[in-house]
Amino acid sequence: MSTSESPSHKDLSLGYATCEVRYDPAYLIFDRTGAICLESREHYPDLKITAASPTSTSFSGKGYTFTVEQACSRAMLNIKRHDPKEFGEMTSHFFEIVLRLLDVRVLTRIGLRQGYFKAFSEHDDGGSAVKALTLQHVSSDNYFGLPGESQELIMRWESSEVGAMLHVVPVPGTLALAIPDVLKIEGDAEKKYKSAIVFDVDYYTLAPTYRTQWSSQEWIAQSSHVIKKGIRSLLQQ
Amino acid sequence: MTTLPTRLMDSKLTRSETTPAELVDSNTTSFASPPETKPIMFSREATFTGSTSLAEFKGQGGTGAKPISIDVLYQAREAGSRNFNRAIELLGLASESLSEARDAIGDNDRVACASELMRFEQLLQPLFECREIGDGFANVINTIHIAIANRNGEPLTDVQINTLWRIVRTLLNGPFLNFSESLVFVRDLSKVGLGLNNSFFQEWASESSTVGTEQSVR
Repeated sequence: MSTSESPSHKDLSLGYATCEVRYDPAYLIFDRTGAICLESREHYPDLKITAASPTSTSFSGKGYTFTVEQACSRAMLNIKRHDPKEFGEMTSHFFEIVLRLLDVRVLTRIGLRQGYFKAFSEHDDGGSAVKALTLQHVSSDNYFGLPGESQELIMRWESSEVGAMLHVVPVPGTLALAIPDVLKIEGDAEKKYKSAIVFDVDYYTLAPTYRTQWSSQEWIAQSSHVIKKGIRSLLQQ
Repeated sequence: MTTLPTRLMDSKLTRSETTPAELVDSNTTSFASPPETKPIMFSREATFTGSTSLAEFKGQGGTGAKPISIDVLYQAREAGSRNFNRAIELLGLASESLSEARDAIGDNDRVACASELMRFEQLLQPLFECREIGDGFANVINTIHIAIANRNGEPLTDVQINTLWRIVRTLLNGPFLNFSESLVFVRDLSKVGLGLNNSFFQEWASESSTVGTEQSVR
C-alpha cells in the first residue's frame, strides 16, 4: 500500500544530532591536544581515541563522538530518541575544555544539525510522503523536461545573524538507519522498514559569537526547540 | 540489509560522488568520523546542497562582522534553563538601574541616583542565586556584592557607577565567562575602589597568620 499523506510532526523521531563550532585556525592545537584528551577523560571516562593527527583528533564513547580540529570542533550523538537537553549537557564539558585550551575567543559559526525520521513499511511510501508535502511548488509545467513533483526538497532561510537549512529526502530501505521506528513498525522487531522520510535540519549562526556568549548546554536546548517548532509549522501548513 | 552506509544518501552515491569540489557547501554543519555503530553519517564532502550559502554571496560572516546579539542567539527562552533566563532578566534590570543612575548624575539629582543604586543593590542577591551558569559570573557578582557592602553605606562615586554599568552590560551580553576571565573585571572594580579587601578580611587574615605562627612556635 502506498500512502500519499504528508507525515505529521508527531510521527517524527530524532535520530542523530551534531553540534559544531568553527573558529579561526587555533595553532595551540599543536601543543594542547593531549591536554584536551586528558581533561576530557575526567568527564567522559569511557572515552577512547579513534583517530589522531596533528590537526585533527577524534575520540568516542558510547553513542557519541568528539572531534577537535584546527578550525572547528564537533560533538556527534547517535543515541535513539535522545533528549536534546541531555545532548547539550553532555557536550558542555567538551566544548568548555576545547575552547579554553585552544584559547578561542570568537566563534565564527555555531551549527546544530538534527535528523528527524519517519519509517514506512512499504518501498514507495517514503518518496510518496515527500511528494505529498505541501511545500512542493505547484506548477503545470515540467521542470527540466521531467514530469512530476520533486523527489527531494532543500530550503534555506538566512538572516544577518542566523540561518537554517532543511533537506527533506526519502531514504530506501536498503540503509541501516539507527532509528527507533525501524524496529517499531507493526510491532515486529525483526521486520525491516522499506523506506523512510528524513528531515535533516541544520540551524546555524552567521554572525560571530564571543565565547563568553555561548553555552552549549543552553544553546543546544534552545536551538533544538527552534528546529522542532520550524518543522512543526512547516508540516502544519 | 546491505552494509552500513557511509552516507545517508548511499543509494544515490553516484550523484554525491560526482559533486564538484567547488560546489561543496561550507555552510553546513558537517558530520565527521563515524562512531562505532556507524548508523548514519554525512561526510564534509557529501553535503546535501552542494551550493554556496547566501551569506557567502552577501559577504557576511567572519570575525570582522558585528557580533550576534544574545536575544538572537537564544531565541527559544521557553526551552532555556531557569537560571539563565532569570540571570538575563536581572542583568537587564541591573543595567537599566545603572543607566538611570548615570542619567541622574548628569542631571545632578543625587536622590534619584541613590534610589536607582538601591534598586541595583537589591538585584545582587537574586543574581548570585543564578551562579550555576558559571564560575566567572558568580565571581563578578560576588565581588560587586561584597565590594558595595564593604563601603558601609557610603555612596558610590561617579567613576564607580560607570565601571559597574560597563561591567554589568558586558556580563549581560556574555554571561558565560570562565573564572580567569572574571578576574579582569575584579581588577577593574578594585582599581576604582570596589575591591574585596576590607578591614574584616585584613583582621581575619592577620589573626589566621598569628594563630599559625603561635601554633608553629608551640
